[in-house]
Amino acid sequence: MTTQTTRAGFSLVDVLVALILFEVGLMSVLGLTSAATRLSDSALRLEGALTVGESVADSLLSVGYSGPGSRITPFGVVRWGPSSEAPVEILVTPIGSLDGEPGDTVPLLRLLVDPTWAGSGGPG
Amino acid sequence: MTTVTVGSSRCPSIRSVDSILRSLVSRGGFSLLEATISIVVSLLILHMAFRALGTERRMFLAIESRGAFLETLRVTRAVVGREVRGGGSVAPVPDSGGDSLAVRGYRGWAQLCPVPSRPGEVVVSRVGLRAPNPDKDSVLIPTLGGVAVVPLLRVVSETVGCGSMGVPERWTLGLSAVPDSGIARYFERGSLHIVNEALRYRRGAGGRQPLTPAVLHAGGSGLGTDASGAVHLRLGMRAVEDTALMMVWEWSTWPKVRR
Repeated sequence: MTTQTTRAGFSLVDVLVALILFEVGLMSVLGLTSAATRLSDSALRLEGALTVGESVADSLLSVGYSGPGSRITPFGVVRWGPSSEAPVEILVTPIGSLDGEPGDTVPLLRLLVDPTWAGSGGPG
Repeated sequence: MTTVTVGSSRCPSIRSVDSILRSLVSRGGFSLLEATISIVVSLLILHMAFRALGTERRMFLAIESRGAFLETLRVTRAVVGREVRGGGSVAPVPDSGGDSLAVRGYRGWAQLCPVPSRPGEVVVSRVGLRAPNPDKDSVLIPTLGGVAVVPLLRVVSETVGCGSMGVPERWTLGLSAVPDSGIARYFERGSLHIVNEALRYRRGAGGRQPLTPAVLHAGGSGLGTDASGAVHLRLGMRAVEDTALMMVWEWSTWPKVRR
């Protein structure tokens, strides 16, 4: 007499559930990459704001301060004027703040500059 | 007639073969409907997976491109800023098309020592980013009438300098009456270029060596000066998989910025 044995394999439901779990995992990885893309976008915007703010600071340190001003750039609105903490404060805020209430947007960048500082200039 | 006893401890190999044959015979498998459904669902899931991988690849390339551009932006700003603010002079390279700037890059300073020397020579204690090189350096030196920029003709080591720091050296300068006190600064002749999608530096009459990855947009990038002496840098970011101009970063600095 022979003994009937059954093979312990995967059922259709097992395979489908495994594939769906694999897809969910893949989507999670995609979510991470999407977050990284957003972060790199943010880094580019911050670098743009820094570029703009540094240009204004260099201008103030080179040709001097002649009063408050502002300028619209692709990376935000840059404003400079007197501050309680330093002779001149430079603020770079996102473009969106133009349409909103004043102060409702966190500045991308804040620089404090003293244009009267008498550092050593370059030679010649 | 030969009889094989299943489960016999004397013949394990025959038992294994029999077990496999019986399991094959008793295997149920999928029905046609089940198999069709499973194949369709698997294909759908694989299709979604491949689309997700394609998106992932594009996003990864975009992140990589932005990282390289950010690196280029920072390095370019740092190098141009250092050479312009600390250097002796800047001027556009003639006929360069607005992408090149001749600079005299600061490389170090030296204290002039009151040590008797022959005409045109001076003993110094040198401190600098690198050793002076007569092939490409000039010296900004105080004179009786102010300051002068003179070529550095020869550099030899000395045993005794002055002060508590620096490397003692004897410099031969293209100047007959060299003072024996004060500070001299030496500069490297070179030019900065934004060509072939990267920031490049030409030292003396050498080739243009890249300082950044080649990720800049050719038409959207430039480097030059204006009438006020300001140096303007324009860096364009190109699209990942074509040559379109995505965005432009503009930055300005001045040779006389006090830092």
